[in-house]
Amino acid sequence: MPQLLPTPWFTIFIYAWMVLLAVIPLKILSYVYPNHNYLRGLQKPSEHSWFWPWS
Amino acid sequence: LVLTLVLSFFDQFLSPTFLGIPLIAVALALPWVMFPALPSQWLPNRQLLLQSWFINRFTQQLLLPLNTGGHKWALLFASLMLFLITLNMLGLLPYTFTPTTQLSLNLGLAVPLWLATVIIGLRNQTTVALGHLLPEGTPTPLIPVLVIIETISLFIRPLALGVRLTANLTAGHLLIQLIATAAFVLLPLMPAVAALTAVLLLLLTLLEVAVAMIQAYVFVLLLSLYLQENI
Repeated sequence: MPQLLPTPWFTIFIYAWMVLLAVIPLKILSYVYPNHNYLRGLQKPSEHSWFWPWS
Repeated sequence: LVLTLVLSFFDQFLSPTFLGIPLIAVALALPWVMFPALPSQWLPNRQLLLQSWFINRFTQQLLLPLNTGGHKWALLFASLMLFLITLNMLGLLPYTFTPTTQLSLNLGLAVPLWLATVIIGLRNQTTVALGHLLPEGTPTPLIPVLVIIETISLFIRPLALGVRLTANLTAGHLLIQLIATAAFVLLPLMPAVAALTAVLLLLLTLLEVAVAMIQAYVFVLLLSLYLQENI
């Protein structure tokens, strides 16, 4: 069975743990669930209104 | 001739390379682009909403039986669940490689995490952790035998955890390949039987979708149970 070939075992082990520790938790932590939604409203949108360069 | 045909079915689990790149590296690195970071909006788009709902509810449900000390593992469990369920489900697409069919990956995840729960238990509550090795109400003459049995069952846990995931996914992929080959080979010979085999293949694929999700969940659930005993 090819799964039992020991050659890439350590590489796969290290690579999988790197992905599990470095990539995924950052993505999961980005899913925020704010209890106080007014905090998001405090981020004001940009004050510059759009203008047409030729007018 | 039959022997070579049978053996070649396992070749799908050989760590594949293409143009010198080990494809398992691609299979492990690429799926996470499907989980983009949330923009700073109150309501994200449908995909992000579904993903964040899933992660939130799953973590909440998984952490219900754990005490406060166990809540430190929330991020790890959520990461592990996302990792496993994404890899399992993506592996069902044609021509993809499923890294979770590799025993090295599954044992490499199961053994350190199980060992972490055992060490936490032995370090923080040694008596209770050792007490798990003897069920309550055991008749005195049976105590030595039962301690040995419980120790064996304790050490079997990481092996079972890793091999369960590997075996389920490997068997599923093998079955899909076997039945698909059968349907394809039968098509010029007995079209009606080939059609029935194709229906069987469809049902099997549905089963494999369920198995992919369930096996990922079982892996993380069992780890949380082992943590529950020890934290």
